[in-house]
Amino acid sequence: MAATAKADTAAYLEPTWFKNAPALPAAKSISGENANSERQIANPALDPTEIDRTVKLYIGGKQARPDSGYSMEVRGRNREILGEVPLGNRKDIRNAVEAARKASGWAKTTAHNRAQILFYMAENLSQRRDEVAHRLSHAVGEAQASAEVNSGIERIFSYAAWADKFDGAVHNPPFRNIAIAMNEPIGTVGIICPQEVPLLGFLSLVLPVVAVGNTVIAVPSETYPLVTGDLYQLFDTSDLPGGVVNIVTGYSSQLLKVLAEHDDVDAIWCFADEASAFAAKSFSTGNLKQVFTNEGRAIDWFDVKQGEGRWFLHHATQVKNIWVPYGE
Amino acid sequence: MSVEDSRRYRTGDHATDAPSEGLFQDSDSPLAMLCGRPLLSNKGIPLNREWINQVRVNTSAVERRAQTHVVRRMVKKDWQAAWLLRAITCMDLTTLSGDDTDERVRRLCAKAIQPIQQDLVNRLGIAELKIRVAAVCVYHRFVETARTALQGSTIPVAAVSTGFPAGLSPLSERIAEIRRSVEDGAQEIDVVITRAHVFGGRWQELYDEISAFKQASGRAHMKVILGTGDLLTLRNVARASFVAMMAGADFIKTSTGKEPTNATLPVGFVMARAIREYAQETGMAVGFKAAGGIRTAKQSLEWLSLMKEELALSWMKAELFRLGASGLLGDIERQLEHHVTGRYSADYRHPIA
Repeated sequence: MAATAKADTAAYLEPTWFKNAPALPAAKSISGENANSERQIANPALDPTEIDRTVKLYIGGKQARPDSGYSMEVRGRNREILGEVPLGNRKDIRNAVEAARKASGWAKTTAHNRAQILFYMAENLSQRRDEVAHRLSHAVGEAQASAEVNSGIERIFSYAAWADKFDGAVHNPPFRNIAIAMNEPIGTVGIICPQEVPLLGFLSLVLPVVAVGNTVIAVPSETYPLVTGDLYQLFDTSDLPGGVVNIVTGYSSQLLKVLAEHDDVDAIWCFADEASAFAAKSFSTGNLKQVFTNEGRAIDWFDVKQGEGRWFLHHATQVKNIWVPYGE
Repeated sequence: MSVEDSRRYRTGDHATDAPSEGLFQDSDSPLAMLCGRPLLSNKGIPLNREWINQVRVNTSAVERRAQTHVVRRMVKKDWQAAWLLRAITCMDLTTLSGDDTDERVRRLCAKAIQPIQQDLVNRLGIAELKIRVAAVCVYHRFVETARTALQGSTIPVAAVSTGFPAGLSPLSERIAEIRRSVEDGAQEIDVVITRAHVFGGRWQELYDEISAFKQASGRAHMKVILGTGDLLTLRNVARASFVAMMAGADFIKTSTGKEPTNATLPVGFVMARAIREYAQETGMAVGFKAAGGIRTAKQSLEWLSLMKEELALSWMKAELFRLGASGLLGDIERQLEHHVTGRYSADYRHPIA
């Protein structure tokens, strides 16, 4: 009895296969010859991209399940199912706005620090260039996917550079006085991202807003909202403080209404069709938030002249004028 | 809003009546009902060591209960608004900071008299309910200020005494502190227990201390702060609750708001069960006050529903239930505005409390 118990314990501690496992060859210097020449690596014919991965909402630097408990299908170019994303509703927007408001310390960090974080983000995306492009290609085709990732990296780099260079001005009024015009962040900005360019569109709108110190509640492209998964992994690994960028997937028309009506959202950017632009304007009259839309017109996000630069930075900031009188 | 609407938001009889004398009566009329049994206000009983010794708490069961409590569906729509209004009437609007000033206390008192901004009151149609907070809670130094500011409103002033928040000054000084606050016009006194008595199991000392506080408080309402964040185990919380009730506490209160962990739901469950057991055994009702870390409207609803489930409707009114809070009112106002307009509100749209 005692013997069996002992044997059982031994088997429990040490599985049989382990007992029969062959001994490792004595350690060799790696520099001498190819150390891996004899090792057999198990290689099941498995495409790692085929394993399901559940994308979640990104709120306050954490991956969050939706309040509704529902999800929506994401389909590829050939109508095949690529995966599912959470169906966000007004409560998720409420939570995201709360998280964004709490992260307002981002505005007080130095522009230099924000630039560093953005540079790091671009570096991290460039490291994962291929896999992000591969996943994106299911939705937009290989050519556009790799173009989006490449332009996306460049866009992050350029806003990283802009972060500490989008200065204000010193004006010279016609009396003994100077006026310092300071560019300051608006606060919390709700962004409805363009449908047709899921990754580059997101980066082109969110990055200028974040670079100057705002916090963001973004609704990604309805075409390929799965991009959220890649984006939050990017933010998580790049030292971006939680709550600076929040992502809520779902039907953008519904989420737009909640965002535009929310009194704690200071500005709304809506880059979709004309009806959405109209909706953004009419719903946001409650607290007269600043509205920036494409008026339903197409923007070529791959074109540097159209898709990046001062136009966006201006809309992401408000100007504070400080009058400084001088005399004897 | 119509008359029916305002009837729907009716939050408690005392909200319409003049609460002053009716709130804390010393008469023999019942203070509360529990399972159809009328309960009197607490007069205290001799220390019962056997009872204290047999107290047990199943921590994991309490934690599980607390976990499921928060994930269940809360009251919604009109009912939610009504519960939030009720939460306001149970609120001890508090300021207990080192940088308190007379001006801040006056501002707080103004807010206590009109806790909801007028346009919201009008749109909710609740003007006739005359919603007010339950009390204003300040340091002794500001009792006089608060009393003057609250004149004509019948809102009582509560003072924290007995070397708050540590409660470690000499007993004679602590008792003198209570007397001074009562003389200045504080109608409610929040006292702190010596936590070391609980750790050492010195129940007699604890009982004597609280009895002395009770005597010094006289007609003023005494709330006993257990400092649950310091007490380490739920069993300690339960035992301290019983000793406080036996010594004549009118309320038992979770924490000072200065401990590392404040009012948590598990602690609330344990204290509520203790109150229930005490009521069943002695026929006397003791109130409950949750304090510290209660900042959101959702939390206030959780505490109210805890009271409703563990005790009875009597414990959903200011006579037997209080929420000690400083930042809570702003969030409740936000939620009420959302209820009225359907749009989420920003906290800077509401006057600071």
